[in-house]
Amino acid sequence: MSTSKTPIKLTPLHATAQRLGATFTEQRRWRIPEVYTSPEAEIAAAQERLALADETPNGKLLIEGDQAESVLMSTFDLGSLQINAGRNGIYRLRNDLFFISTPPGRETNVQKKLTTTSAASEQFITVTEVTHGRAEIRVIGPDSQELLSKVCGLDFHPSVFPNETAKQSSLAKTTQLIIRCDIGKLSAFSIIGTQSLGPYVWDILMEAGREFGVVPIGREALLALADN
Amino acid sequence: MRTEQDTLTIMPNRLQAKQGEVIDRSTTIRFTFDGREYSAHPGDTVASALTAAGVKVLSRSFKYHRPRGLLCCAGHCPNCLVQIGDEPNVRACTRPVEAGMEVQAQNVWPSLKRDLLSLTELGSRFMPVGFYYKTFIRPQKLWPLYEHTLRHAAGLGEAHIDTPPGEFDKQYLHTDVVVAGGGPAGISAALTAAEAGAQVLLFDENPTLGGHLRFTIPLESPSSTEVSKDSPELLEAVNQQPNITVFTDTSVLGWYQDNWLCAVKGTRLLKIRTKSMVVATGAYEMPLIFDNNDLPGVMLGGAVQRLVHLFGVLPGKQVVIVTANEDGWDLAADLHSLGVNVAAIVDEREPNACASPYRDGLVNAGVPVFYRHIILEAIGSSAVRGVMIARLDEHSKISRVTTQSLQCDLIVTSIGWTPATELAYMAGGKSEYNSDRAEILPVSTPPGIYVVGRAAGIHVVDSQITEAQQAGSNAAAFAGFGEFDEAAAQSPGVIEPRRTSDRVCVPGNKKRFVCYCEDVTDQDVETAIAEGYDSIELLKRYSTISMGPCQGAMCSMNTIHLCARANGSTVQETGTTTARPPITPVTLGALAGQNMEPVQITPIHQWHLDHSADMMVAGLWLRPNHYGNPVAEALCVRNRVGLIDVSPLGKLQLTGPGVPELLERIYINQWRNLRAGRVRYGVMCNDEGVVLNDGVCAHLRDDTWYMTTTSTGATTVFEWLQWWLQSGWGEGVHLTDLTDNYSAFNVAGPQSRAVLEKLTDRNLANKAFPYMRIRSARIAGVLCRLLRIGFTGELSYEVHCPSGYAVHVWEALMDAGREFGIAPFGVEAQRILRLEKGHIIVGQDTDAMSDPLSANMAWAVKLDKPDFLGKPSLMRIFAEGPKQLLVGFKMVEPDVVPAEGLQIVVPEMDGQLEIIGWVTSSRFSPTLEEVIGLCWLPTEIASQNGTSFSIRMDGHIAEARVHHGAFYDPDGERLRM
Ligand code: FES
Ligand code: FES
Repeated sequence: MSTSKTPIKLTPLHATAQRLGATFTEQRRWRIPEVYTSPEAEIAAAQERLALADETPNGKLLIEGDQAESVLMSTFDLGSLQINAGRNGIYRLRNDLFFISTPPGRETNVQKKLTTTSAASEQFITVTEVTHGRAEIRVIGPDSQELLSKVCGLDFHPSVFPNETAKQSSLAKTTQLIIRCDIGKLSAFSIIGTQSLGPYVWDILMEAGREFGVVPIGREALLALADN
Repeated sequence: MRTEQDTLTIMPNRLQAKQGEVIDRSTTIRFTFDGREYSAHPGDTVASALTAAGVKVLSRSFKYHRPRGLLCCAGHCPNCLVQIGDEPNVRACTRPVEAGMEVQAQNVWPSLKRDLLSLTELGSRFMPVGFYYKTFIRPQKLWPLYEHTLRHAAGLGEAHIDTPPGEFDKQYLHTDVVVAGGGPAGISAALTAAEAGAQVLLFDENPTLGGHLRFTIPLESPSSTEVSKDSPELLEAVNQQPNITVFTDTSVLGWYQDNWLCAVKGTRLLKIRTKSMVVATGAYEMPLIFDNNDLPGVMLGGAVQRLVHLFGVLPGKQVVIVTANEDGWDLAADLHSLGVNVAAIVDEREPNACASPYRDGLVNAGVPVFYRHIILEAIGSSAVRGVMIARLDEHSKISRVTTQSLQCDLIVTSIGWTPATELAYMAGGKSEYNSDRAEILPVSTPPGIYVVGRAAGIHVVDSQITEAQQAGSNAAAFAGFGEFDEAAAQSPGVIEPRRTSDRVCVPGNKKRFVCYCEDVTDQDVETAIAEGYDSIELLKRYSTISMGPCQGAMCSMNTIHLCARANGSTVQETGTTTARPPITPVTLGALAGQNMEPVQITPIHQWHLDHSADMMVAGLWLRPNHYGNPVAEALCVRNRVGLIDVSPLGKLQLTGPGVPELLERIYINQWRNLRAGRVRYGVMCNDEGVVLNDGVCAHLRDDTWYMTTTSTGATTVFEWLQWWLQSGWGEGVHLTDLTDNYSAFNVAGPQSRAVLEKLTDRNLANKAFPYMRIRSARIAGVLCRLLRIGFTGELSYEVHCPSGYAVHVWEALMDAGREFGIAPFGVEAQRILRLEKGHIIVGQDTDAMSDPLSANMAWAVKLDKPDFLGKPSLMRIFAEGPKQLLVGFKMVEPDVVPAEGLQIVVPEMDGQLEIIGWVTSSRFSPTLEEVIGLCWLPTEIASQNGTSFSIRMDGHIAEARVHHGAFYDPDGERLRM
């Protein structure tokens, strides 16, 4: 057997980022945009207007089963309410189906833990990693609600869609999971859906966001925003 | 710099500057109308600028091509529709003028001034109401000619085919309270609701809030309401209120179930979900029906006030005001104070019925007043030159002997109002005719819907404000903010003086238009009623009254009166037509919004483009059709090795102890006995026994299975399975769609094993990894699922890798294959290869009638299984035997490729051809150097190998022969190498 290259993971938005002039960095073997123009300009755009970022590397798991909630509770030592409110990156999609979002690379451990707990509980539970199957686009900035209101029928007002909660909806004629994930006081949403539709959804958001001066931002700006 | 004198030369109808106007006189811009240059000030509308320049005729009417000028100046009639650049049907009275704008009159031939189509009026006797239902029907073959001529003669502007698509979009809004209409009532309701804590969206169709307060300026204001003071205060309060979001230039188009509203703001469609709604949409001023009532220079009172106060434009020098209420007197006083020559006030009432505070002042100033008089006719051919009036006798009949004419160039009618209550009625509100007021007024509305202001028949501003505040407070309470205002519920309502005349039509002997949009006269209404179309809904449909661009704003109320009178019934008995969205016209672009056509691409998409792939659409997917030479690609697979991106294949994971049982029910073939590590081809049918989908399903390990589906059928199969899982077959089964999680590539060809061996440690020898098996394998360092299957008829492996690694694995395969002459191949080469093997494509070779027995899949049907989807139907089909069969064929001539879909025919006795089947697939086979295909044929022909039959080609018949079995490698030896 011969293979010279170390396997590198590309996000579904890789070609789009290349087209937009991104430079790249690596995170947990995912190649992701580092900077598009300059970190300062990207940070300013996110803080003052609107920015889009590719966060596909975030780990994604599905856990299905009638007893999925109790397995999650015992694995992570959580109360039921916390799960339903979508805390700790766990979001209920259906009565017996949950979506778990983890920082990049953590999904393997979380999957192992869940599989161990469910095996011990002898419950019929299926844990599936779906990181590769979903594109994740982060919409950040004061105009993010306005932008999303152009492509999705949900009410994005924080009183109706509080931070760290998720909803599934049609967005630009595709099915997406939308998670509100503010960065401090800055409004932000993660749009998670089928990876093959990722470039289409990205382009739609960029087009709809033109009136707000939307820009793509890379990892450097994202880290700085999180630090702030 | 332009002097005042210059301005007057180019804009002779411009008044002196004054407070409240919206134009910027310091700047002059230029635009053209019908090729002639005109001047305007920023803030002018197209119509105000043209009126300032003395232009009276803006358009020609729909049917008779009569000259038409400004009527309402409020966007509520059809009279000012023009074409601006590429955009047809623009209302000149509401569209702000821009420098360089090219405005054209529409529906004119050859020109606005001399429109030859106006000769149609001479033949109006032959074009009565509903003539299009009666004429142009025979002879039928002349219809294309009629259609062309009619479309040329009547119409609403032109949409140019080469106009670039505009930019449109949509926005979804959510709120507690919607207030539709930003006049004094709407603003007051919004303020009260917002103060109670509700989030309020306030919509108004005008560029600024204020409603009629913007242009009805009282003079010394002897009346109780000092409206001019209220407006700025109200506007300031709105600005200060953070809970109110204002949308100006926005028309609310309709109400839908559960308070779902639709509005349009320019090129954006707004979809609004609200908890409660206040309808403050005002009222439409009613036109009067009299001889030549459509002559340019006949205008509604509000129109003149708008022109005068907002744009400083006076549309005439000598004005006759025809009225039946105090509004006419207000207008007269207003114009008189501006120095305008009010030539006469013609009031149909008795002198003592007039309570106008301006009466004495006007009379003392010498303005001639004609009480108990009515207008008979507007005199003039293309613009008003005078007016004919007559006295009403003691029985309110017109005394023709008293007829006299007055000179004037502007006739202003101010005879009443039609409340604009469409939204309330759409929401389920009820109305009644109030004979004291001669208006149809809302009497009840569903919970959470409130009607205020002129829409509720309230014209006095103080009352408008008080009632609206109560409604605003209740709308907020309905949305959960504050308490209901009980006083409002018990309020007896406002007692208003009558403002609307029920004399809507003055008989005569010229044309009198009821519906300006559709050119329908009162005579037409009478004819239609005489023909039996005597209910208001039938009358509307037959005459097209109220179906024009203004949607009845100008004609509905008058039609109801005419209909009632002709039937000898009351207005209440006659009723109204049903209000339906859209209330105002909306462009199709706004309804369509931003172009959103989802497109799915695989992770290898960019690579395909970089390698000259010709992409094709398959469902939502974009796939490489070929990379330049599909025949070479096919031969490369046959002789060496090829690589195809089959990522769009559906990939479903099924887990749980219940999976085998589910598969037994879903597929027509056996599954329970499939051991782990093995793959089986499966066919699904629906309950009618029709083939739904096919693909392979692998038993990965224990309770885990991996199903593939056709590329375009992935979502259908996923939903199909979900449906059955949720309908009682879900016990012990979990289903996950992994279509996007894994990308899939097929390495096909005699050298495929050699290529893969370079990238994996897995033993790929035939014995260790035989045909129809699945293994996990690291390929180029990435853990993949490897399936030894193939659609091409060659030794082949399907590599399923996590999508993030797709590019890495694909490139590694291409690199490893270089020494073996690997080439990528597309869908076209795959179609050739599969056809050579005689494999069918579900959806192309089968249709919504194809059962597995007819589609040559009888071998897969296991009728001895206890139960499966389609079994009862298939038992019947098997018992009856197939009438048609899907079968292979070869063309007799080697270079004739029949197009897919062509008919298979036999000659009949009479020389005609009978269709007995059709071609579903056909290609030139580069391997066999013959033309091959699949087709549907009657069983008796299809079951005989070698039987010849005829295909109807373009202009000739081609011969083909039935072929049984695969065309290439019928025993499948190459697959098992
Ligand atoms: S005059 Fe423009 S719409 Fe009536
Ligand atoms: S006047 Fe417009 S529809 Fe009748």
